Amino acid sequence: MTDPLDRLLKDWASRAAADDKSFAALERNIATQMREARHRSSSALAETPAFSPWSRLAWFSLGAATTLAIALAVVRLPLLANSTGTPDLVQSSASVHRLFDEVNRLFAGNLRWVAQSDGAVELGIDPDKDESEHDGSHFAVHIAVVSRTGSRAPWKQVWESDVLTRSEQVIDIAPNQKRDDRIGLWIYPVADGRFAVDSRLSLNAPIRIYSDSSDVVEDGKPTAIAVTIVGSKEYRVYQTVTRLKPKEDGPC
Amino acid sequence: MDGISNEHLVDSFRQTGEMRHLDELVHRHMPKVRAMIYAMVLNHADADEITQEVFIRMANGIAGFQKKALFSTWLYRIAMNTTHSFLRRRSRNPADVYAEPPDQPDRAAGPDRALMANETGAEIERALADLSPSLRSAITLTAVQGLDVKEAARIEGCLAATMYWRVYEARKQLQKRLVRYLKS
Repeated sequence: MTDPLDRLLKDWASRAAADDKSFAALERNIATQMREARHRSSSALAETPAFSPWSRLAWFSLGAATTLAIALAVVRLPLLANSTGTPDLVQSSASVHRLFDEVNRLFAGNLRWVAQSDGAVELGIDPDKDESEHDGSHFAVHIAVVSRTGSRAPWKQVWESDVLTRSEQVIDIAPNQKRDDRIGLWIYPVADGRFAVDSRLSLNAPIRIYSDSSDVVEDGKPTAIAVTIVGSKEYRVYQTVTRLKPKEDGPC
Repeated sequence: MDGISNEHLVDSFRQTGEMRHLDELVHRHMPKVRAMIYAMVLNHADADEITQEVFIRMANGIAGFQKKALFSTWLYRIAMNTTHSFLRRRSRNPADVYAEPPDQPDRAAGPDRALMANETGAEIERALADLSPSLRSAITLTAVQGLDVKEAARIEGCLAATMYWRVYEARKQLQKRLVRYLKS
């Protein structure tokens, strides 16, 4: 016999369900949008990609970005550059952590993320008290665009970004404050030590590329999230998510 | 395409690229996904918008589906992640919450019953809205969608023990809040 609470909730859910006509309309919208998304994806893999980052989905992201733009004060600071001028996560994570600690104290613990792209560090400061539920895990995410000419040629890194964040933090960043470039991230640790990662990347330079992935990934293992070929050059986007050990954790 | 498994449809799409396989997956899962999302956001317009986003994500990510879980688990995980993200964004702009007028009573069921159903529905929605998102998703996945606790834990990416606690806590709060309707 069904539990009375279950019965009550199921009755409510069936009354609250959309009618057949609404379902049919929703199904048609989804079919149209899936075809548009597929067309965009195919175009991105073509030799001369027709890049259109402001899709319906991107507009949804833009809505989130607008919300964040209101809520977050994004502060740009000069990079704590290393001596080579080619910062990467390994070389600069200590610097970013120090910066993170200092600025987090300055903003009374309201620092939410740190991003480093093309020689600049951006910080997400949330003036509101954080009441969301998260398990306290912190992550470093390295996104790299690499290219090569020919299948035997070595890979060369052409763009990269590093983000420090924590679990369940919704991130929508315009790297270097370029309006049309976007990094979206959301990470959730799952029970077997892996992470569910939703990520979006749209770049216009040095290569136009778009990716939208929702995967379960292993700690520290690079994952190819997009591939495109332009002329004789192949480009790939790799994303590596590493869980920071407690002693390395930023206090966000 | 009845009788063809979800996973087979995924394979067929990967092999042929024919959109009809994705359309079939949408047709099969959309009502359940939409109901799951509605129970979380309690707003029809938002539920429709998020449902669309979930299936676009499904289409974009289907190449990466590795069959380590059932297709439905993978899809529901996308649905719940997308919904949780939406709820976090909405918590920053609470003015939009529950902006919809309450649904009209179902007059075909008779005025008294319709009014009673409407009142009960409104109270259930208020009780669900007062649960934290993690408790709301726990009760949505188990009591509303009828999934077992382990499956719900896989979707939410937490330990089964955590999910058991969430379901217990959500039921306790709802039973207290809805005691009047449970007795009748």
